Amino acid sequence: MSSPETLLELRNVTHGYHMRAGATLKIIENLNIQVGYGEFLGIVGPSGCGKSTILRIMAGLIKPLSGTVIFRGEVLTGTTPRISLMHQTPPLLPWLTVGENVYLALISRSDLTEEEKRLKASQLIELVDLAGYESAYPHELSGGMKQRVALARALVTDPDLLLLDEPFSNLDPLTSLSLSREIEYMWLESTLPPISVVMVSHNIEEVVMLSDRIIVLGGRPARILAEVPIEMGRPRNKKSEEFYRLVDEVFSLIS
Amino acid sequence: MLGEIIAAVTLSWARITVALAISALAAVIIGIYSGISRRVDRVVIPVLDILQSVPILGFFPVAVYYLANAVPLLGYELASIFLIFTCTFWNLAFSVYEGARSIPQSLVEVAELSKLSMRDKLRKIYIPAIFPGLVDQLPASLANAFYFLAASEVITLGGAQVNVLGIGALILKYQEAGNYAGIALGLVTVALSIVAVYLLVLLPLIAYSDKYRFDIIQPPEVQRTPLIIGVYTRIKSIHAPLGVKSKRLAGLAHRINLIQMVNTRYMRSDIRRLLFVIVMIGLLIFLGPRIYASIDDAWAAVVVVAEAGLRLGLISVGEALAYSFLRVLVCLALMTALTLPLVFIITEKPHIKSALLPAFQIVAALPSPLIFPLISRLFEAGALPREFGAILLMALGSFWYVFYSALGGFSHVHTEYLELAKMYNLSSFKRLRYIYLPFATPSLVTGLITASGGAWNTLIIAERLGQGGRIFEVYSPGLGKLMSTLAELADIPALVLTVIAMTIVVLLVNRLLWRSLYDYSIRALRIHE
Ligand SMILES: Nc1ncnc2c1ncn2[C@@H]1O[C@H](COP(=O)(O)OP(=O)(O)OP(=O)(O)O)[C@@H](O)[C@H]1O
Ligand SMILES: [Mg+2]
Repeated sequence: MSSPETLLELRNVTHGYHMRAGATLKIIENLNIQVGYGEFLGIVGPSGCGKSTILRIMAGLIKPLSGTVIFRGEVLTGTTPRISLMHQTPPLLPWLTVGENVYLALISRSDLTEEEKRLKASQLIELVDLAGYESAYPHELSGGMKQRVALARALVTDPDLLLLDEPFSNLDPLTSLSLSREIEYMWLESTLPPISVVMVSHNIEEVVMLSDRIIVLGGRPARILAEVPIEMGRPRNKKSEEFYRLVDEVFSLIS
Repeated sequence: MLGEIIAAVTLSWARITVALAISALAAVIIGIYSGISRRVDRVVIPVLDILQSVPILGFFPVAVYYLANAVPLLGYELASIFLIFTCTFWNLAFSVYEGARSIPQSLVEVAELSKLSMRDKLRKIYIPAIFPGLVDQLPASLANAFYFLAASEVITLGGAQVNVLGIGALILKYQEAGNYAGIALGLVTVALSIVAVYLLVLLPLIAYSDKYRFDIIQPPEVQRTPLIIGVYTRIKSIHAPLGVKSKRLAGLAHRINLIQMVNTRYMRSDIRRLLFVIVMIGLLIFLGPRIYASIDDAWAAVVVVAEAGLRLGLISVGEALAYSFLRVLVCLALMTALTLPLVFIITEKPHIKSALLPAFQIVAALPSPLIFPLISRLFEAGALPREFGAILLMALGSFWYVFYSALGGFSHVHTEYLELAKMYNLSSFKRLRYIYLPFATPSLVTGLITASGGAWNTLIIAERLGQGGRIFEVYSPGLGKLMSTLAELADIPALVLTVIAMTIVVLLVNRLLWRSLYDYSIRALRIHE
């Protein structure tokens, strides 16, 4: 299901790394992905196939070897506060408190006053259920809490597009579940920022739970093996027949 | 003239090669032994740590005096090689030690289980583990050897000056004769020979060592800890459990020698260090009679050294120490202020980095003392310029430690953090303040520790530089100036006293200032190793 309006689009994107001998190892080749307006897109694929690389390209952090990234109808040339990326292992600065870590995302913004920035930071910390932990340091938090700080930091800039790289990796099943609920809540709550979300994850149940559409990547260089639209209504019931079928389908496409 | 120069350069290289080979061999043996055996480790590492704080150049005349008397013909030659050895050995030894220590216990156990022969163990486990670190340290050792080149070839003791044949001595000779063409030609030849060795020997060695670098020996997350930090954390981690389980170890301790008992059971580490110094002083005094031939009684040696102390006056020694300390601090501060922006720019601009680094490595290996005459001439007029000149001379001997440790710290910052800075549009200042600096601080402090040791070592040249009858010295007092004067007067007891004083001060500064700064930064930054 592709939305009538596209928020971000990868056009013929090819990327790779230069190897020692001078040759180029291609990671992805001629990739075309459209992220619809208001769409929650899931991306799955085997480890090392280039999912993180794709998110970095979408975020404007790396420039692909060839091809273009179109964001809101214009070519994306670098990072923008309108696109937020939550890294696979979220880099929290150990010498800053939770509050300061979230505040860091706004520190260079000139369109907000100091007061507004502080207020926004604490609102987001509250939203991810970390109220009271503002002055804690990252090493005092559990893995799931750290992940939620990273989520708050990614959302505090009011992005149009949120890119989530393996938000559930390194989390135990129960914590994954609660983080997934958090993301779903954020997504369904229409007053909250992101218009669209792209999520990469190995946790297929949660991908099926959250996504409107799933792209299955594979091969080397990676290409799109399949697209699976998820046309279930929300909230989705994990025990339903249809849910099982979809999870099965995605599983069989990967393996 | 060219023939003379080439012969001298060859001889200098021969001496350096011999000294480096001895250093490397000793480093490999001692490093591996202390890396794999806790028992050896507990004795050797503190000893190395202390010996490394002894000011080499201050110690030199004493060694020369002894060696020249003991070995009539080759004495000066040996003394020269010995000096080069003392300035190339420590970093090699610590890097081998670190490498050996990084071998996972499981690997050692597998080797034991599969009954590998010693030769196979060396080939399959130890050499791969230590080789890259050792090779990485070779340029630093070489640079050190060249830094002390002139000092190692021109030996002054009691008005007598003995030159061994070599390019350092030759250039000084040209200088006395006012032969500027000779000086220039000599410098160019040395520079070319260093570049050649760098390109033909060191770079291939480094490339070869890459073969071992990404072996499974170290998991990728374990960053290679900078030298001293590794040693310090090592020392810390050894003593922490020992303090707790001292009872169980009490039986064992009987079998180990006295020093180690002092080490493990009774003392907190600062006191232990001091005690160690006292034991060393005792040893020195015990060896005194051999060094100072006219005294055949250890007690008499003590008296002589004590008398020297009275002669010099404790106040004047203290004053000299205070001035020198201040000079070292100013030098370190200036170097840090210069390094940070430089390293920041280099790190952020990969193309500048790849262009500049090889050049820097060669410049770092060039013997900076050969331009000392130029500096001493430039900063001759007035007290303040002289102070600045002295600080510059010191910086030439220790700048690279600061530079490379800062560079290491900066380039170890993970990409994710830099991407964060990019996404949130952090200005250069904010990137430096929130990301680079905190990450690099431990490594930077480590570099400063080494640089501070280096600066103390060079004081004896920097505060008073005698060349060809001309003397360039700071007007205010200084410990290096004092030592240099004493060496010229061949006042061995007083020299011994100043060497001891400097060693104690360096150790105390390391312990009380640097070590606590390091611990503080780790705590303040909440970096968990
Ligand atoms: N800086 C780099 N230099 C060279 N190769 C790289 C670099 N970064 C990534 N790669 C390679 O690119 C490929 C894709 O990496 P990427 O991190 O995008 O994979 P991924 O799909 O996110 O994997 P995972 O599921 O394990 O997170 C990998 O094979 C990796 O080795
Ligand atoms: Mg990834």
